[in-house]
Amino acid sequence: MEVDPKYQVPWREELAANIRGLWLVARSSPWFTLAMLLLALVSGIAPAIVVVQTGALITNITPALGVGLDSAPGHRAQTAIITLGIAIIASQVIGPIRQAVTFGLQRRFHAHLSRSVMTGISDLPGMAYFEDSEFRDKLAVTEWIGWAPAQSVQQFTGGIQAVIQFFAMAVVAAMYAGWAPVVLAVGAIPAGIAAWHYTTVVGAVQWRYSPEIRKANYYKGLGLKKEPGKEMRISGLRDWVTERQGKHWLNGKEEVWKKQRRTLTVSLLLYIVASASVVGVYLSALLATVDGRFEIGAFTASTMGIIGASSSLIAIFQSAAAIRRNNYWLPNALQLMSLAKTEPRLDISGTKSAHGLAALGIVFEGVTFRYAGADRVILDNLNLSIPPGSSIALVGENGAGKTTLIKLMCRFYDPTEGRILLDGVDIREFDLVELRSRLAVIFQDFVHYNLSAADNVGFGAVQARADQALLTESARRVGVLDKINGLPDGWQTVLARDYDGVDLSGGEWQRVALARAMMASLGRDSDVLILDEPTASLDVRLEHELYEHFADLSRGRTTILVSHRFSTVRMAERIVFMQDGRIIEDGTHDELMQSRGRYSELYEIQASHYRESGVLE
Amino acid sequence: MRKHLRRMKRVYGTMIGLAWSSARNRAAGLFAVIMLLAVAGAAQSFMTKLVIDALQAGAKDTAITMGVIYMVIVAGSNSLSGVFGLLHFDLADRIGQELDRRLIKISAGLPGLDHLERAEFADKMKIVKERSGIPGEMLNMFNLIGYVIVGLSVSVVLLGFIHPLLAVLPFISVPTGYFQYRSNRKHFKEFDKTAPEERLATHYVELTTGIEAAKEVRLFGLAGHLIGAHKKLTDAYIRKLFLDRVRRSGVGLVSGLAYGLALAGSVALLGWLALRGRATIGELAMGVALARVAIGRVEMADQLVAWSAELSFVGERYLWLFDYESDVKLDGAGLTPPKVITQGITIDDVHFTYPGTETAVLNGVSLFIPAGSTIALVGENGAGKSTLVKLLCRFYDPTSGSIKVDGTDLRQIDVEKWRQGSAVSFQDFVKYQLTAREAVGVGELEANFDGARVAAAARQANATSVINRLPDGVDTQLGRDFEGGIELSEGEWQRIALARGSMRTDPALLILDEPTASLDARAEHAVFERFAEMARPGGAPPPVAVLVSHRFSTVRMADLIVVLNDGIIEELGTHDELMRRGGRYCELFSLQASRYD
Repeated sequence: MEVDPKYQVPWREELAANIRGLWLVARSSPWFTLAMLLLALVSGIAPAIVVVQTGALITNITPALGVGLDSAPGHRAQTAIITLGIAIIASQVIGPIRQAVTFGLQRRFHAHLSRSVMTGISDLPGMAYFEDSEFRDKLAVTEWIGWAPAQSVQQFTGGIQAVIQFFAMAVVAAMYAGWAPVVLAVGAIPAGIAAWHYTTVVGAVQWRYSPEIRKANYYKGLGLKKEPGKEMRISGLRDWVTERQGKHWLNGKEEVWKKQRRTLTVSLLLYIVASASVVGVYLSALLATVDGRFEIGAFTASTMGIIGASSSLIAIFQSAAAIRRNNYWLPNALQLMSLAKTEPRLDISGTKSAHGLAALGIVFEGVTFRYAGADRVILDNLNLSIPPGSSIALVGENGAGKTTLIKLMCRFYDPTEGRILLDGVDIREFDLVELRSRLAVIFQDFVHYNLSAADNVGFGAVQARADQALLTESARRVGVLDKINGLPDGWQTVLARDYDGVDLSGGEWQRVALARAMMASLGRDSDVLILDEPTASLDVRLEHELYEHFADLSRGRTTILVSHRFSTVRMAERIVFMQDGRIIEDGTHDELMQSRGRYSELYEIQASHYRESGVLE
Repeated sequence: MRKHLRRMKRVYGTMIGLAWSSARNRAAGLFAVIMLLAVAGAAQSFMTKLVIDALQAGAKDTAITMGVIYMVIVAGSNSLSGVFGLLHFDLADRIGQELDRRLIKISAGLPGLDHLERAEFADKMKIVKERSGIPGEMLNMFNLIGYVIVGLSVSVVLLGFIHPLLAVLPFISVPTGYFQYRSNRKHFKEFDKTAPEERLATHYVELTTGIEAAKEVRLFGLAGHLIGAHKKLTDAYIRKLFLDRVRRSGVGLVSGLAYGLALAGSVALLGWLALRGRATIGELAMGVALARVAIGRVEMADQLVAWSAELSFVGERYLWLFDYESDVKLDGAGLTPPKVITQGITIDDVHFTYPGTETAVLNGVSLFIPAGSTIALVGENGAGKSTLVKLLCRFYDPTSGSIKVDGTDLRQIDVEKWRQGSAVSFQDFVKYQLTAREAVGVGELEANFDGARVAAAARQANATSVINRLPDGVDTQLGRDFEGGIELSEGEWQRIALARGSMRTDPALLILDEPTASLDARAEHAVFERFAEMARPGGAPPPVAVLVSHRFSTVRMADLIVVLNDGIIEELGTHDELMRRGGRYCELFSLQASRYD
């Protein structure tokens, strides 16, 4: 039963992860953890007392029968009955309390673990990891392990209980012979091996087949999520998606089951071998009693200990195995949490303050860029200089590299070659957070936050998001204030119908995103304005209004504008035409039109339709 | 109460049927094993007695024989229970998968869209998703019921032989089970209330860890705020749930006390009997063991009752989802739509308000679209253009008024067939994480991802260059989600989406809903050329073509331009007519044209 080493987590790492997991549990809620441990202790000890006292009762009965109740053995027997009663009641009553505490601890730990991953991922300074399929794999796995680590909390306390119980049983079994518990413990090792082996095989196999399960989940998402809903229906994909989901799910699961089935036989054999020690010790005690070397009462009591010790050992192993299974992917999650520190994939050693720079001129100097692991050159020795306070428009066909250029400016990636200067300083030398705080950006694929309108706009300057005057001004400037004021709960309206809010149209969303960029610009001193397709869904009037206000918006700000709408492009003072990652034309609209290059060609395609109308002629 | 029972009958009936149909042999096998374990548990206690009785009677050989049999049972049941967990691993998996499959079929199969935008539907989905393992556990529950019954009856009979009272004691806690059930049901109802908050918490996690918001989170420095909001939110609802749980643990305490008293009473009674010499040591040992078995089983029974409260909670929500009635009713005649529209589409005084909202989006739209014509919908953001398109696709039915195709109400037409005859490209297209061939080919499954068909569609949408640039051509995996996938730029994605929309070669209805937002001028031009061609009399009968766009350069090509404003038609006519009229259209057109001077 070979396990591909690629999918095996070294045991050291696993152990370390489990210990850190426990630490995280404690950190998530110290009081709950303490209560949980105490309760586990008590619920371990109470049944242990029951065992020991039952032994005491049985061994004292025969002597007591001889001399009457009012004797030492008689008293001992009576005490045993009373203690038994108390222990039994205590161990029963504690159950519900423990359940409630477990519930609270598990939930808190789960939320805490989520936040730790959130912190770990959002600490990654750049975007390079998101291109990395191994990282995405790990992220997806971390997402769908869900409650497993939280469940191990319960198994951990179950384990503690079993350990205590084992010692109690061992004491009783030792009534027969001191070596009995030792033999039982050693003899149970095969059961431990069975449990360990099972988790190794299954954990590794599940990991290997997780891409299949992820695919299955992808198809499931297509069927269940809101976003693909329209296309799913138009294309009639229900059955296709269901079938694909089933196929990938089965591909992923069948291999796991096959391995599990194979471990079944081996496990059964190992458990039978592990039973040999119980059988041996018991029969040896029985023979001793038959031979009269051991007393019947003591034999009866120690039998309980012998059987009990062995089953508590199995319980210990099984708890350990369950913890291991549930935490099999914990190292993975922990790795994600510390990636930003261990391997940020973006140089974050820059400390220079980006505040108070005199003039925010931008220079791209021989910038070449390729996504990690990809062959395609996106930017090819690109040189571009944007004087402080001026505005340029980036134009070019789809895939020319315009959006990538913006991503480099935001330092989501660093150039493969060359450098980018802001106010004459390589942007890598700035403190990253400060650098970004100088940029106000609207991305082409801006985010629809399922949150209030106030959050959707305010997130542009999160520290100032409670500043109503600023929110109002940002919304007003992009013409969305009336819309927001007209929402059922005004600024507090959630912008998502599935969160009991309202949905906006495509153009309205775009204005909200524009307002967010405005918020950044006004609220946090962001003097570089980057607008990637800001008018794609805007209606004519709003595009026109934006055009009218553009000079006002961009005054004193260095502005980069990306658009396919030549009507939008002309807002900028200067136009830069990109093709295959290079700049092939650069100048004002009039200059580029005169030179009759690619720009004028594409411009004509759009403009001709208006001219034919006769309105302009 | 009766209603509750009836509902439960349905929940369990459905769930059992599901378990049975997904894995009957395994279920039966597992049941046999657990029955064996139940009998073995009681038999062990009985064997203890036999061994000790034989020892006390001095029957050495019998004692040894009995001891060996005892050990065989111990070794057997230890080994079986050791691997018991492994026996049913795939059962729960299979049941969970079967439920998933049904949910996909239902959610993707509901003809309308409303459920996907409805908070209540999403809440129920969240609840069943978080507890997808529970129905699988149900099978276990039935096994355990058998386990309880067998274990309990064997031990009670044996206990009765020692003393009749011992047979009765285990049952004193039974009445508490009912109260536990009720209390648990109430507890689980709390999760209905926290479901929206739990969904929001997931949204915060997705925003912070997902790629969709990664750029903004970094640029705007949102992580701290989002994580803080997550903490505030989860702390609050966990606290609420925990306190509810604590409040309800009173019932559990009473039950616990009852079990404790029953067991302690049994042991005391046995001890007293033994001290009086009315029970042998063998009987004492067996009695104590059996009393523990019996009360343990009663306790388990109570747990099962409590557990069933959770199962029925989840089951009821599954059924709610299974029974969900779409706002788009399918009780129409299910007529086959015309292959080609011969007269036209009549929109007659259509009003529409999204379910669950108050603001009307369409306020009485009436329009006749003649067969073979192209119309353009224009208007400002939020005017109702996309909504009208959604009604034409029948994602919703009009709140009042009707849409007729060649005189037949759309509601009378089979919705799937109607859509099969439609080719639609949306503004918010899907970025399918599939191969390029699949991402285009899903536009018409009947083409079976045929290379020539896909290539033709790509050509039409100007996506050939996008595909040619991919390392493995049309079989390249797209997107970042899966290994080896190539991420495309927004405009490239849009071309793939347009190619998908071109897979249906002779649709009765063609809709382009702002399909060019991210396209460069050349690609945009190509799309509009295709649209314009639809209008020209060619070989094939032309479809009714509907275009939504803010690009007036294209809009003007349409046979009929419809200007929507606040949910009503403000202007209607050809480009020339509207320009002459000098209304809103003329104003907007001139506004845009002025920028191309």
